[in-house]
Amino acid sequence: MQAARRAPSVGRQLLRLGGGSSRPCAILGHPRPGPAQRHYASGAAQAVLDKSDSLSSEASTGAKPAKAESKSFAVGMFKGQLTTDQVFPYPSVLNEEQTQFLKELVGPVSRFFEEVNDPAKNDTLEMVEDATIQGLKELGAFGLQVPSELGGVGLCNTQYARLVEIVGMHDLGVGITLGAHQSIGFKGILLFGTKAQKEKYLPKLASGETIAAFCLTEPSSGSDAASIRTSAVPSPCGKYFTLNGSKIWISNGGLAEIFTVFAKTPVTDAATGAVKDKITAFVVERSFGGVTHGPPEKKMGIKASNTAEVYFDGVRVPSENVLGEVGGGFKVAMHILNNGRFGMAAALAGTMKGIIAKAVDHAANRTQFGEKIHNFGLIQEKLARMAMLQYVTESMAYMVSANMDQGSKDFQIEAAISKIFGSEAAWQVTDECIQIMGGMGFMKEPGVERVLRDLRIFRIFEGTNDILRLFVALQGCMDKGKELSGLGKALKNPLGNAGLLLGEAGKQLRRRAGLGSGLSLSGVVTNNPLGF
Amino acid sequence: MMVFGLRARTCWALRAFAVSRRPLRSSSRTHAFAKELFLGRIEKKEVFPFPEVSQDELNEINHFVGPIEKFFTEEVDSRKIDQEGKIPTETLEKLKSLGLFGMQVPEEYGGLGLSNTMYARLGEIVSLDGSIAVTLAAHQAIGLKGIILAGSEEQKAKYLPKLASGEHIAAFCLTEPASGSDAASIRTRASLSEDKKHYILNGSKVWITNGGLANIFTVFAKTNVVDSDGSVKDKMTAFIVERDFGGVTNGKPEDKLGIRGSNTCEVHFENTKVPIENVLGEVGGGFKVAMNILNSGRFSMGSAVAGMLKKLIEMTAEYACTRKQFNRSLSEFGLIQEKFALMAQKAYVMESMAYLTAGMLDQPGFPDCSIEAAMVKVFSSEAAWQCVSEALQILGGSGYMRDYPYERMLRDTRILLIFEGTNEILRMYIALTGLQHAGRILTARINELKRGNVTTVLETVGRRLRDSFGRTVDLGLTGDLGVVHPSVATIVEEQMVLKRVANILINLYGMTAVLSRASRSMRAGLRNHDHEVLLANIFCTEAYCQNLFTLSQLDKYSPENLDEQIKKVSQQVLERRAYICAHPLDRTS
Repeated sequence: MQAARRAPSVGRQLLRLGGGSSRPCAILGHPRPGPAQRHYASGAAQAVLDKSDSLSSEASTGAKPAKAESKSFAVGMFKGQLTTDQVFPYPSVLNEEQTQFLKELVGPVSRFFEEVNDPAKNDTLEMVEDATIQGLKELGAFGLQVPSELGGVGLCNTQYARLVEIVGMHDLGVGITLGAHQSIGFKGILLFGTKAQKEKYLPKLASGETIAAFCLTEPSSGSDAASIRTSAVPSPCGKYFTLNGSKIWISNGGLAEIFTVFAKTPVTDAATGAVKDKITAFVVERSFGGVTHGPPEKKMGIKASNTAEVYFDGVRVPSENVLGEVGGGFKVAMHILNNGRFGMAAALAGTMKGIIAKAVDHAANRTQFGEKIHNFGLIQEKLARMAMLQYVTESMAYMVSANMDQGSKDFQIEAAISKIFGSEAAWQVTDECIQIMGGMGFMKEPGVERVLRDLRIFRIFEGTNDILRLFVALQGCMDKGKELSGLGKALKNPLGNAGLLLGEAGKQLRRRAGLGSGLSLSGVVTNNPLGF
Repeated sequence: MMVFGLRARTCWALRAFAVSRRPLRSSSRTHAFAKELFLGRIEKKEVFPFPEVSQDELNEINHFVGPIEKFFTEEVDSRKIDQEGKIPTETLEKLKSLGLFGMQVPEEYGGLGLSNTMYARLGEIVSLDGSIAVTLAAHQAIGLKGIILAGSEEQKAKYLPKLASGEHIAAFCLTEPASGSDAASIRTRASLSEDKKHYILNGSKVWITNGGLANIFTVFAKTNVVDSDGSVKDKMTAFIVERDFGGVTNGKPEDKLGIRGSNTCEVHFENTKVPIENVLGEVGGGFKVAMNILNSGRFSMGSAVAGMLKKLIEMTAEYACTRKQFNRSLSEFGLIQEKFALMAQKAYVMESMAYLTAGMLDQPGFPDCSIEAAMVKVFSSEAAWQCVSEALQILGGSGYMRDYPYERMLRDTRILLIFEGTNEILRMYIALTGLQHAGRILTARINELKRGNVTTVLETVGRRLRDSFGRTVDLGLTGDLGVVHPSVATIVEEQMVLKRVANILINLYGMTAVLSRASRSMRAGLRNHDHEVLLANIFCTEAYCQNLFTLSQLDKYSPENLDEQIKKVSQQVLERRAYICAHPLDRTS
């Protein structure tokens, strides 16, 4: 019982992965009986878990207590319910005007990537060519989701996904440069920034005059984001924080002028008076002084993107540059990451489309054994599976982006699923393309090996697939637990009671999968002509 | 109790290929194990007990192992080799002085004269650097292998000593721009000179490993051969070609995903005069020479990959036990533990398969182990790709950085699934050769098989597999009355079926190998043999379940068989040369 009572503080370190409304959680196995070791962590967890969290409700994309029934399909699955609101019929969110606007963008962006950008050259140079960067800025590609009044293109998530798909089809290195800038680099300002912060930073960021980077990961803190050591100490006068610490593997780290930095700050608990270390997010300008960076990392792929260590040495950050609330940084980080994942699935859908075209082209032209190799069953099977994986990823990506555009607050599980599925599907599709091309695929010249190298990181960054799988399963169990009144206590100790929660969820899943307990998709699924 | 439990499970797994003992006679005297599997028979004496090496042989191997291991761990700089795209001269020299250029060359020609088993053992170490392993393999596993296998005394005496010492480097020239898996379709031509003393060689070869370094090339070319009936036919002939013969040039080294330190380039032959005494084997017998060379070398990939995986397990285990996240070592997390179990299991299985095969090959009488070798190659290359990727995943972001070896190892590994016979072709080879063997014995309709009609045989084999598994399999290849279905006539159309047959057989061979080896280890009381039993049990159980599923897919009318739909999708994709779904944002209006 001792163990059971203490376990939450360990378990909750993982609970916070999802940030936001639904109580996210992830468990890495059952806890050992023993003292909880990280007090600040349980404190931070509390901040996320407490309903009375201090984030303004407009800023947080989903901090509302889940009184209303969740519309999320994934959440519903864990309850043994089919929640079809968000998924049937397939959501369509763009109005006529938005569709038209998107059409006008797709053409030029596609042409730019076909005619101007040279992915092979970017890869060899280990940087995006200057002319390409300039062209992208002119296209507005650095501020796709920044509101137009602040100088951006003002796209909704779905429109953004469509353009990212084009980038993903042609050059993932460029995709990372753009994504690190706007999907995570300055996304915090969009989601949590004050009016003043937005007005000050977004116009230059949107035009690409300044580039942004997202600084969370540290040498000893990867998946366990709560364990960062970078510190920000408030000045006695309260006007600024002094920032010290090192961040690693920061995309755009060597190029950026504006950094979203996460650091530990001492926070006094109003009730108890105890001082705890909590994570706070800051907007840091390179011009504040004391910001330096290491040489670009040598990587397996996405070489065109810049990855570097970033050091903060006594950087004085004005108090007005706190992003969100002091002590609310973990939530800010998780919101940013959760908000960005849908774009990855869209980009990877584009990658797969491009790769399938190459594979088909090769299969249709290469002759062996006196036949075009597309006549061979094994090649056909590969192509069919590639098309299938692409179809599923694309369907997921645009479903999530549409749900987000519809104002859903409950898309974290779906977004994580789309990232896991998309990154593994794209890897498989590209691997099979190489196999279809045989020796040719292994060579640099056709450009497929580059895509494979680029893709390997997608299973690792922005939440490794391993951590995200735990997140998906446990967030589901948590929500499930909440529904069942009898399990209320178990919920207080999700780690200790994982068995109970999993057992219950498992039962429901089995019921769903196996016996057909009366729940059915008939009525929402259009009858298919093939009759299955 | 534990042991009993495991034994029971092991027996259960063994039942997966319980034998049907029909008194079928084989026409051939060498019963290769895998071929007999197609007849639902287990040649127990081939695989039980697990082959042993003598104490003398063991001592001899260990005598080599020490210095080579030391050299690879202390002196070889794999990162530099990868970055600079070449193996430094001094590294090559040291490899030569260690005798590694002539491992299987007989001692009388200056080589180490290693048996297949010993060669496999050294392969474990050499594979620690992908570029070196490929360079050495291209030299001796294929480059000069033809001379050992098919060379005349004079050819051996003339070429082998310098090749064994590494003074000369060899390359194997088969692949051409238009001829990859379909080796028989090469266009390089060798025409007899008027004085009939030379062949004039013309043509281009691509992706030749060591192509830019080699002095001696084993080249395959089309020659005119007068048949017994007097008609002239194009047949393939193998030649030993020296660079000094003239007219031999090579292109720039190719830039590749991995094995970047190995030299890969085009090789061109322009009116190269090759003396007739440099024909390797018989005129017109080149295809057989090529296949023999390739078949003989594949088994060694198993031990090579196992060696690499063992190293990988050490490195990642060190990391997993020291790296902390969420206040615990990574090694405490279930998802990380699963990856280690996977790596250990795969290494164990391929090691068992490789040494079992090497042991068979070392038996007198040149047994035909080409199917076994192909199975080792397919299994180990795919396991390598999967395991290295998982190892990289354990490291997370670090794994992706070039400061660590994982991304390089992953890049290096990718080629294993492609070269020396793509895994697709090898699966077809495994299934078809086996079926051919089964067909030869089971039916008199071998001619049908040659015409590509595998249905009869498939049906029979299907029945046998069903016998072994106690399940019904309807391949859907026959009509109501067991008449061969008219629309299904060619091998080409049966690839998906053949792939499954091959997968089942590969699993069966893997199961046999681990059962044989684990039994030996238990009997001999080797250290950690209970760990072996665990690994064997996990693999056998998983493979058994996979096989059951695969068998259910073989049934044409089972819900698991999606072949028709898969073909339809592929057809539609190919017709339009693209992914054809409307975009999720498209509308009808």
